[in-house]
Amino acid sequence: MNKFMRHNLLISKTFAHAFLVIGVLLSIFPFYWLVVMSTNETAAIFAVPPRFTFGDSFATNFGKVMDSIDFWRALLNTLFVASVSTALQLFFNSLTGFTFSKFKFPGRHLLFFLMMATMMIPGQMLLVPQFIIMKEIGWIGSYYALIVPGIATAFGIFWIRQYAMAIHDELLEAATIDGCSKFGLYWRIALPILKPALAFLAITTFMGVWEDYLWPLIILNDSSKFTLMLVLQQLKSVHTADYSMVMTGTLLATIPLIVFFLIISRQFIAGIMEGAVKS
Amino acid sequence: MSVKTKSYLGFILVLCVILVVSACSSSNNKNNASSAPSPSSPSNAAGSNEKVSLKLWYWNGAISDSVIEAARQKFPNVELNAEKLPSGGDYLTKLKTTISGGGSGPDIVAMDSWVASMLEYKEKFVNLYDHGARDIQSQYLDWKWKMAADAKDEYLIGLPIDVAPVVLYYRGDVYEQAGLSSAPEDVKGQIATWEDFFELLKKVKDSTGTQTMTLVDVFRSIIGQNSEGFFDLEGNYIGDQEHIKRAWDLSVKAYQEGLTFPASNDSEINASLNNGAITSMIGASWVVGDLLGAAPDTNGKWKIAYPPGGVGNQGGSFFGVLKSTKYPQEAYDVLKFLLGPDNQIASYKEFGNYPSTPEIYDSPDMVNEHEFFGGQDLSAVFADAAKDVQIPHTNANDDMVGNSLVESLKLVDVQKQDSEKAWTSAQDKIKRQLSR
Amino acid sequence: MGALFKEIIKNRILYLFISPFYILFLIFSVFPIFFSMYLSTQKWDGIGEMKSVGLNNFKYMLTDPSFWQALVNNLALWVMGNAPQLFCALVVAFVINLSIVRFKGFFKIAFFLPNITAMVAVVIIFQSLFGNEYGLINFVLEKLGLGKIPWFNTEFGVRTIIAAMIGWRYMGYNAIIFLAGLQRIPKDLYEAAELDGARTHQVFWRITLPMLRPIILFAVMMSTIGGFQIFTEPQVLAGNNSSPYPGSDTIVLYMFREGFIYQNYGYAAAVSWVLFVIIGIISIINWKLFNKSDD
Repeated sequence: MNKFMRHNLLISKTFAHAFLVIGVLLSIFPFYWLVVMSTNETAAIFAVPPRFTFGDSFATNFGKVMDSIDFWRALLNTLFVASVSTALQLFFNSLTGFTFSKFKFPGRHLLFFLMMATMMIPGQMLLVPQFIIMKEIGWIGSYYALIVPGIATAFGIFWIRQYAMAIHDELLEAATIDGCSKFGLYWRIALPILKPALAFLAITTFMGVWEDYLWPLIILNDSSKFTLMLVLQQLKSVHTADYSMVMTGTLLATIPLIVFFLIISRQFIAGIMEGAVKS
Repeated sequence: MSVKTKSYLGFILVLCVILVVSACSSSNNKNNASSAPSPSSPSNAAGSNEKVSLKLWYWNGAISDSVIEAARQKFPNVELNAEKLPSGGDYLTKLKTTISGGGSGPDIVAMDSWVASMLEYKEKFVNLYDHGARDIQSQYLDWKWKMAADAKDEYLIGLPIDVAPVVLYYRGDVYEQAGLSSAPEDVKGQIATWEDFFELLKKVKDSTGTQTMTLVDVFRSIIGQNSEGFFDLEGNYIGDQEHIKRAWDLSVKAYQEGLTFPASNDSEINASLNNGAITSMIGASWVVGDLLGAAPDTNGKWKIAYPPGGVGNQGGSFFGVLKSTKYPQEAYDVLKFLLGPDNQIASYKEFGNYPSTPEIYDSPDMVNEHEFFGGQDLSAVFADAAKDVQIPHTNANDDMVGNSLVESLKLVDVQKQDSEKAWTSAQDKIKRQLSR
Repeated sequence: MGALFKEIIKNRILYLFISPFYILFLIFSVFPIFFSMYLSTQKWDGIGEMKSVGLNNFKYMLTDPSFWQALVNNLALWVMGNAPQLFCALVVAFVINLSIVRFKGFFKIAFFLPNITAMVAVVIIFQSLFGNEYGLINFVLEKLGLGKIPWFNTEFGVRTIIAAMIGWRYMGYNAIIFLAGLQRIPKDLYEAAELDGARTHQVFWRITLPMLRPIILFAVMMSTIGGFQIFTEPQVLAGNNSSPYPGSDTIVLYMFREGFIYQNYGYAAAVSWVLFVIIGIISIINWKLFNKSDD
């Protein structure tokens, strides 16, 4: 590598990082402020100009949250529902998405079209009739009503299908000749390639379940089964809101999501690193 | 099919079976548990040693938890499951879904000031008159009580929890700065009508440059004092008549004289309460909590007085019993205790929920000398403002009419639209909606 | 017919693979869909009796200025909130994926953070940023001698705020989608380009973009569907106000207000079916635009 090229590389390196850092600053500012608000008193939130530095009220706010709601129980509940949903979704969505992507069978266009159409129905409209179905099945108040309808989703299937299109047909043909069954193709050939796609699906599914509010609100009747988003709402009373306490609760409910992202994004990095190592 | 495939399909199959079987068993258990006490008839269930299980839905701040605890002590044979749900519109959505989905779930439900809209479905609720509510009627504010009763006063779907009398909140220090008296009695004397109030606001504005809340807030406050709503008893639309137009014109006048704070968002309103840009506001008793949270820098400087133009009510809730309950009598007994005058004091002390039982207004326990209000006894003003409120007849279309009017009125403020034009377009829109 | 049947039998394992979605669909969605179709021809307050009104709900909708206004708002918000954001996401993903960039993990989580940040915090922040009187942006504009902009008072101002909220929330999310998509581009293609001495932007246009086409289709489709069902941002921005700010009333908000607040569930069902058709048409157009190459 000659001197000129090295110089050039340094410039583009600096440029790329500067670009990203500016983007990051814009992106994380509201989150930073969420943290600031949870360490301050409510007064500081509505001050003009607002306070942008950390305060020392976090312990107080934390204590208030813990006194007001059964945070840990709700956390466990949510972790349970989100983990089970995510595990099931990863399996069923990737299997279905891969099948749509790589196999030809009669009716696949129609079936795929039907599936896509389901995404376009505004969900709010189906709330009441779906509640009635759950009542008929006897799942009101049960986690089944939160988990089962979502174990295969159009979103996830569509995503995996688009991603799996990159898998070379020759690869699958070769494996078939070697005696691989169709499920084997999915399990042994496709899954490793789909890893980054699965990582993304895991994050969005986990997050979607974590933040779901209206459906659990309508389904769950027993406060010992409430998820985090439901108990967080209890921090607000009708007319008064202790904002810094609400913000602290919100922050606490967000942290597990970040942890989950960090764990899963290793799957991402693994894929990226392979690419980076080459050059 | 490879061995691996088979084992995986087997796994899925087993999973499905588990899901189905356990779902059935769990729902069976639930049925068994809830149907167990049914052989004994409800009336003697209380007398026997069997536990009566009552589920109560409410939201944070509807009633003091200490009162619920007291009810558990008082009724040892009742297992009272009090469940706190998210407040506001979400609560209503859940309640409605539960009722339209067949009403399984709670026995006792809290209801906000939208209780009147539930009267249309009164058959979904227990008629509390059948269980002795007549006997306690005299303890409660009459206007409040009637909100949950049908037109003939024969069917009662809720017992009053609290009321929310509307008062004037003002900055005593700022009023003094403007050369006005800051004593609540003097202020009350000066603002008998809205026109008087605007005169006073003008003085405050001229000497301190501070304002009252927004144009829309003023409008809402004025129509909140009306004895007639948007519809008459027969359901005919009367929202285009004098009592509404007067409120419209009055609030536009306040805006044109520069007395109202420009329409904005919640954060800015909170900020302007805290930094002293807004120094007068009409608000219900629960505004105390909002002010404490939003304007800590003004601690000790606020006062409250009897509101301009007469009294009004904005909020306050009820407890009702769903028809699906197995124990209507027990539920009523619990409610009677929860909402008794003595217990209302506890909720007032904890959340500022002003009691609906006037007999305790003079009780020494009610004195509420609030530090944020420079030690003023708030209860005295609230008691004054809670009497003789007139509640207009409600209608299912009230929200639509109110929203349409407010939307148009806001355009007068933010887009400088002509007031008459805005009024006409709002009325056209409402009539179109009603034509369906 | 016999051949088709044989083909189906031959592929039965594939039908088993895709069956979970359709079984769930049959159990949980078919009835609600028919129910809401039926509902769209009824007048229903949610609890009481239903009354058949034929096609009146649809007739009313098509002559309601508020409905058309909501449709216009929706289109404006969709374009303002999604087009720039998707492009930025693509660039960000491409840059993060460059071999010269370090701390990839950090950048990913940092860009994704807005999507996790709770709406309560987001709203307070955007209200404080764009506030008419005390907003940070107006504060800066005034310092610069440019005068305040009444953001919340004009349609364009409100749409700008909401577009900023959408862009801010979903840019990182879509960047993560594109990043995952970049993983599926065979590395030898890049290596070959590098050997040929291709510049970064040439690589982007000639290799990255075409190879990413199915993933872009996915992101565009989801942004269309999500963008036309936009609901949360205008609603939470309005806060305690009963109706959304001017220019931000969307179709789903309109539907929600008519249904859940004004108790016209039948009418709301009719609106949702019209929305379904609109999303369907735009999705098909997207599909044709971005899906030329394969399938």
